[in-house]
Amino acid sequence: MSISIKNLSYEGENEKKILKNMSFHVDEGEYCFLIGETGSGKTTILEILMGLIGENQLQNEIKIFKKKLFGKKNKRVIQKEISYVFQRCEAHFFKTTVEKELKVSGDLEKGIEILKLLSLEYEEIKEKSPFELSGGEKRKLAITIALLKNPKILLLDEPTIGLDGKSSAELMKFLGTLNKNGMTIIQTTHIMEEVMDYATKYVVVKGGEVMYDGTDVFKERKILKNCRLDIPFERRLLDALSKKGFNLEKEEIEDFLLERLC
Amino acid sequence: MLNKLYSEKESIVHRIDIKTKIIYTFGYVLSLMLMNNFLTVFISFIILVFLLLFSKLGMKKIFYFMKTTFPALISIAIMYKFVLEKTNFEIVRISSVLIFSTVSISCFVMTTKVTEMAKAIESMIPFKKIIPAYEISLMFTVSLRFLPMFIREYKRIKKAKICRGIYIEDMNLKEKVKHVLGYFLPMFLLSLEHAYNLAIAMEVKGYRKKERQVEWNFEKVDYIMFLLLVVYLVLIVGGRK
Repeated sequence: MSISIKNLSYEGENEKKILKNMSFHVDEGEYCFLIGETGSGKTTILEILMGLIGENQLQNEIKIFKKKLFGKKNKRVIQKEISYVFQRCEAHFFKTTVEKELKVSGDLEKGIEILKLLSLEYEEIKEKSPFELSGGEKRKLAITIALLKNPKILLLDEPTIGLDGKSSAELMKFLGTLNKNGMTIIQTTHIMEEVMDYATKYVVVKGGEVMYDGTDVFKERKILKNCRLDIPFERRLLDALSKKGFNLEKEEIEDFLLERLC
Repeated sequence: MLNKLYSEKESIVHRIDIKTKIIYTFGYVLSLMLMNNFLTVFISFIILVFLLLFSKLGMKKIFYFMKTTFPALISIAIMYKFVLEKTNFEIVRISSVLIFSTVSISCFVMTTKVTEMAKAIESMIPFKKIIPAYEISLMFTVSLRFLPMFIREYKRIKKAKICRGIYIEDMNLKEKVKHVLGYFLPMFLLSLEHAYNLAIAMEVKGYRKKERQVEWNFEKVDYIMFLLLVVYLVLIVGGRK
């Protein structure tokens, strides 16, 4: 088991309860989606897992690689194995050019390779300031920087926010490939369309509490409705077709519909 | 804690008229320059303690502001002791001036709403035809609005550094200074971005220059504050050697 959270409660500033008695676990090599509406505590979970907050409140609640996320020594060993990409990814940039940023983050060659996989031409942006890049480019660069640390666990806070449909799909595909190669990924989102293809585990959060922890969240329609989350159209279509006896894959829908309707 | 500077509470200091508060804080900070022996430092300290007790702000918040003066305090103390070779009292005096003024101004800021503060400052500035009172009060309000943003960004960058495995507490003094200098570029660029966004937001909302006049709302507590200020100033001047 990679990450184990047991009875985690967390109070933020002004003694506001952000997380309430939360328990779930993520196995090694899983792609876990933390789903929930804005303000449900998703980012707080990621910040706690990275060891950025909660040092005075937590003791035995979290274990990562069977080590307690508590105490300076343990925390640093764990932090070495984890990378975290913030939602506001500008905070990851410290240098004046992309080239310098990649050089201080790790192996430049590897960085260029990752950027290429994310459809970003290094030669075009290397002299630019990271702050000058567009929203999508900034996010791709931040993910590249995070990956240069060679993490075993990757934490992503809504990485597709601000990306256009194609870039978002490309990024999700890239993350899916990383996961297939063995990386454990925990990603927060409230966009249900993007969780369909790659997730191996879902944790639905509402008001700081875990409402669902399992592998097929789309069967739990009541929970999703209660958490103000929609089932994607494609999934509803697949389910409806399956009830009628057509067991199709997502990629087959278009051809099937064209064949039937035209 | 500093997501907003104003702390909403029911206290005597909250009830004091803003103009009175401005005069009182200004008078108090200026009077700190008059301290020249331990007695005057003690009197200023007692007055500050009373102010804090009446403001009901809590030590946690006050200490948060006090902490920001520590680096300056240490460097000034070292400079006074070893470079300028001043006496121990001089070191105590300069440290007290720094701490007392920070705490009293923080107390003023935390007990006053920013918009009301700006209005009061604007209406208190004389010779409005020569001095750009509106612009000064707007600059003051905007800079106060940016303070929590700066703290948030600083915290975020600090977290990003930890994510990269950079721990400031493990560094020696030289490394720490170099490291802190590294914060300037992102902070500067991010604040420029925020300023630009703010300017656009104000433009979109149709923000225009308006004449604002604030009436002096005098109550019993304001008379007491003025009396206290006068008594305090007499004590400080009388207590000087």
